[in-house]
Amino acid sequence: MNDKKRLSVFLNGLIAENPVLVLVLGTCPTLAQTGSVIAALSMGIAATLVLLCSNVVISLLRKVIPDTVRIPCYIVVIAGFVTVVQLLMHAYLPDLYEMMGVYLALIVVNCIILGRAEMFARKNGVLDSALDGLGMGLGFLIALLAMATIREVLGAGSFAGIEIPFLVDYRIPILVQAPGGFLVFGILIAVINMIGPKAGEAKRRNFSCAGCPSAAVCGKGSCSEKNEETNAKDKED
Amino acid sequence: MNKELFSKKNLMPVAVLSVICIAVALLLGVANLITAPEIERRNNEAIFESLRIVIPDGEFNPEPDPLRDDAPETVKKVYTEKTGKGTVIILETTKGYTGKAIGITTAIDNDGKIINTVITKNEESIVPPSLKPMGTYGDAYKDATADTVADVETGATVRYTEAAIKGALKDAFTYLGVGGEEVEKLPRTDAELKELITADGWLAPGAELENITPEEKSETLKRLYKLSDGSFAAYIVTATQYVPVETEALVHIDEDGSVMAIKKLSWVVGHGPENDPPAPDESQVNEFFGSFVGKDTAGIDGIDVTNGATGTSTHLRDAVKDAVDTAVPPLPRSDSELSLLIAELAPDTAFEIIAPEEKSETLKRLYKLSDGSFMAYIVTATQYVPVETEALVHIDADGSVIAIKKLSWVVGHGPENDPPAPDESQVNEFFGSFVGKDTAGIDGIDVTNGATGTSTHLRDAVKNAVDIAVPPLPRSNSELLGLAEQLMPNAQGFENVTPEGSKLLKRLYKDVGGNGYVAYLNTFAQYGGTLESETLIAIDNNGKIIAVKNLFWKVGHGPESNPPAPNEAEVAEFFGDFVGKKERDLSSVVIAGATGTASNVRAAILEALEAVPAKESQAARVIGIVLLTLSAAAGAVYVVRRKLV
Repeated sequence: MNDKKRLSVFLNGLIAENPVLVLVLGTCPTLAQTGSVIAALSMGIAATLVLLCSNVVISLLRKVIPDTVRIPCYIVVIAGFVTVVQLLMHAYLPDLYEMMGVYLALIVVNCIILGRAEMFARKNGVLDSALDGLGMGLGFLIALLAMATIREVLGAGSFAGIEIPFLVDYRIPILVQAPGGFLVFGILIAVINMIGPKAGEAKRRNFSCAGCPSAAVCGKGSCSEKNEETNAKDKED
Repeated sequence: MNKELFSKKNLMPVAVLSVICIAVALLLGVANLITAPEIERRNNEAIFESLRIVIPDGEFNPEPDPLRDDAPETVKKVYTEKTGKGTVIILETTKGYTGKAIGITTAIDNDGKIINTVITKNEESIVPPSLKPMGTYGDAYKDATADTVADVETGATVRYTEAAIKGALKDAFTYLGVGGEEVEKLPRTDAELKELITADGWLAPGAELENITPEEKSETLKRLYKLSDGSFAAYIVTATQYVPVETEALVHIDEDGSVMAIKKLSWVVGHGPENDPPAPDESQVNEFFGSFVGKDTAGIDGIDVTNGATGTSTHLRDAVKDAVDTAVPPLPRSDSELSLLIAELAPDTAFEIIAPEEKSETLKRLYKLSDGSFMAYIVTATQYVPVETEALVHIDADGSVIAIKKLSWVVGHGPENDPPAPDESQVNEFFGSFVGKDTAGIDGIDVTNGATGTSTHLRDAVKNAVDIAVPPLPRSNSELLGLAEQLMPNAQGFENVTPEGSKLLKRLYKDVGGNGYVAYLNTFAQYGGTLESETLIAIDNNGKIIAVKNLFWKVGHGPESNPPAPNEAEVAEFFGDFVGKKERDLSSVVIAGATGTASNVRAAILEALEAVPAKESQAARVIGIVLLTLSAAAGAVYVVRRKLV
């Protein structure tokens, strides 16, 4: 893959195929850990590290792991990295470790990580998988930060624990609670849909097979190619 | 097939997955190696921070003091302050509301008072602000002692969690031996005993032991545990003046007070094989221990002591008996004695002990006899007289007393008192007054003059026994029989054939002349469980209802409700509609305005019809069996022919 394509692999995860706001993956930690900016940052960084490491390892082993046991292998690898991150946080960042609680261990079952391993890492080289992991991880982090900023600033009148004087008296507490999380999440998805690249067109026209959950069973080539055919047919009609 | 199983295609995934698992395990091992010291350092830091909170200017060794074997479960670490200010105990309890760990650090001074306490960890799901770690909750315990800690008012509203915390603090006092309970040092710890009890399968792995050791200390019974299956495990230790631990044993005792198993833990005899008589060898000792198995308290008395270790074996025998008697206090009479007495009262009738659903202080044993009657062994007691009266009561299936045998009778005063204690004939007359009475009749029995207390206790005990053996009905047996005769005038007499376990069918009488059955049914309101209806139905031998009598009917709402409760005529019509119906037709009998009650009545009638062995259904059963057999045979022939062809 040339440099331009590599860059697009990296950038894909940030906005165009943002795992949280576009692909709607990993919603559990998204909703649970975006009550505060610090928690969101911790979760984002932890997930990114795990995603990066697991993508690299799985890509390295992609020709060795048989198809029949690929999912258990991926899970073992991902769980291993999550445990390492847990131990490191427990040892060197105990406050963050306490703050993240059970959601740190739940990174193992985060759809983004297993999804990228299955969709990308097992079919691409190490560098590309690393870039994909990094891109997706940063995209996850950005989405979490965006949500956390809105929820904490408007809901708690603070940012990263620092009180904002003029907002603290006008906060909307529901935003830091569960219903508020869903509300903010939904609004962000709507906004991204509206202002995202080639806004107004059906998203599937730009949806590459790499990000599609049905890619393995579809067998019809990329949706872009298919849509080009459809467009051409429409024009004829 | 073996070749295919071990082909590269099958083995490769297994090998790859195994290698990946091993590699990840190694990675985790390395990570643990790097982080474990840091994690421990942080934990220790947290502990030392808590030490500095409870004794601000205290000096402590970096390592905790060695923990004694008999330390309570909640005591995790102990630090003695170097300058004599006191002792800090790190506690952890899981007996809070959700069973999650609560960490407590408490400092106790040399006078047995709490210097300060702090919660260091609280993993409960609901943590009020006051109980958050490193908060000020512990301040309330300052200056508390072992005796006053339970009464400390903290203002917290988490009752169970607070009880757990206070329990843990009491353990701290106990460990230090400053007030609180004196802990007797046993040869084995509770944990060791639990392991021993679990090892032989007496206790299921993971199950808990309930320590029910009586407060009144026994010389030999050191621990008594109740196991999850209702049996008991007793830890006994005998000692002599010269041998502090002469024998140790674990005894497994069943609910009836018999020894199920006995485990020898130690056995010391004061002399060796060279003496005369020689000390028993291993097999003789084991034989002696084995002789306890299957024995109850009376049987234990009959065990011979071991030759050559008379003292030791006598002590052990007494200790086992004491343990058995404490676990299952013996009855005034043994089961074997009672069996003989029952055989006298009801010769040639087999019987078995049954466990009554209701617990009773006076009903000690209840036996069911093969003829459907019951035998109840009752014992009454007072504060001063442990066995005031004893009697064996023979109760028939209808709840009437057939016979009563006086086994003992103690009156608290003599014939010189006023009124004088009753003489033998008066006592016998009193006992005789129970014969033929049912529970209602027993209420009417006069107590004996001069022994009012004793006779009242006995009367109540007999009534209790009758009610437990044959739970009373709204109507007496004689009344029901009279009503049955009215419903089935051509009956030649009735025999009670009520099936066991019937819920709504309270009595089923079979006409000895073969004309059918009469069933007495009760239904109960859904809310409150009160009696809702009483019905008497006559059923012929083909399972058809031939007559119905409504004895009592109550609906939960009145005529003003919507829909209104049915009137008398409608109720009579409802019951009348059952006549001529069989099992399959019952659902067609309905009444407006009393759907619930009607449904219950239908269910009760169905229960009665199902209990009646209708000839027609028997015929159907036979036909069914024949058809099934023919089908099975045809199927077998078909299969065999196909195989052959």
